[in-house]
Amino acid sequence: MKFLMSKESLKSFLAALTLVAVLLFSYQKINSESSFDPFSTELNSQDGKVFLKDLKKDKITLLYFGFLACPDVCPTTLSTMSSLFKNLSKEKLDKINFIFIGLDQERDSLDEMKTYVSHFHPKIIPVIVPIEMLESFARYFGVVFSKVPLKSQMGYTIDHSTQVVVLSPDGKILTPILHTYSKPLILSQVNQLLKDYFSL
Amino acid sequence: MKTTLFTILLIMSLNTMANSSIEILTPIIRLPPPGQNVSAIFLKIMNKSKNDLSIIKVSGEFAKQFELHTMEMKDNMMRMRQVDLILLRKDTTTELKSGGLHIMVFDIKKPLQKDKFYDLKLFFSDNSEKLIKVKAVEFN
Repeated sequence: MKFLMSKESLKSFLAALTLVAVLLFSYQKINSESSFDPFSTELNSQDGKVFLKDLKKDKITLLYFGFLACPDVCPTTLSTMSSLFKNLSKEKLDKINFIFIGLDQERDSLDEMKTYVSHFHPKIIPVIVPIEMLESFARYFGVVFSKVPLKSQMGYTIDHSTQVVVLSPDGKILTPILHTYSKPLILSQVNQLLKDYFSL
Repeated sequence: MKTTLFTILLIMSLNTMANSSIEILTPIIRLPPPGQNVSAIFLKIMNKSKNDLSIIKVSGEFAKQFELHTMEMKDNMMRMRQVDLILLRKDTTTELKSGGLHIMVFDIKKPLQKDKFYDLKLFFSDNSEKLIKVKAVEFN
């Protein structure tokens, strides 16, 4: 009987075991997330498979996450950014990518996304991230989203972050463009980036 | 008896008549991007009466469904929800605008034409209603 653990010791042992298991699991989760590489993730575009690591080369890359049934924020952002593009010279515009990442893969196809974004500016590239990687991909850039059922005709909506993510040519995440920014402010932010990185 | 009935009918008809204490300013509907038949209506609404009032329903011939929606932005995250009513405080102007309250429009029957006006009927909590014309505009 000596060799058997007392009830108290057993409890402590189990608690310690649980703690170790939780720590191990958390470590693995953090590790798998930090090792996630969005730049090497295969993205679907109208031109077939593309990679962010290729798209970002020698350009400032802007990423916007949205969906087509979004009645206000998404079209407002696309419209604001497009009107800004119309104020930039061709030389400057060539140094900018604008990538629209679909968050509603159930409803929005690439063709529909292309029709939609073309209305705003030919520069906007719609892409679809493989669904199993979408959350990690978005989170890497500080973007969160969640599907929310509504009793509305919409059936569901997607709550999502509204900032435009800004990336340097080497993939560094720079200060984002917030939805609340005025057009002149965004224009000066973009001009400053073009000046800093390309002396334009 | 006849007079009483007449009075009741008169009061009932007055109640469902146009609400003159409500004034609508700059009502617009955004032209949806191609392939989309949902949109949003924005406007300013002045409640000049001595009582609080609510918009409880909206209807129009140019689309199948109209809903009252609210939107809130928190930590750069956009959250849109349907609401049962939009409260209009007395002596106050309530603004339905981008990033906030709006009338969401579903299943627009025919593509909207830029600068054309579309009839819209607002229904209020005091049983009154108001017919307005909303202008179709491009974004921005």
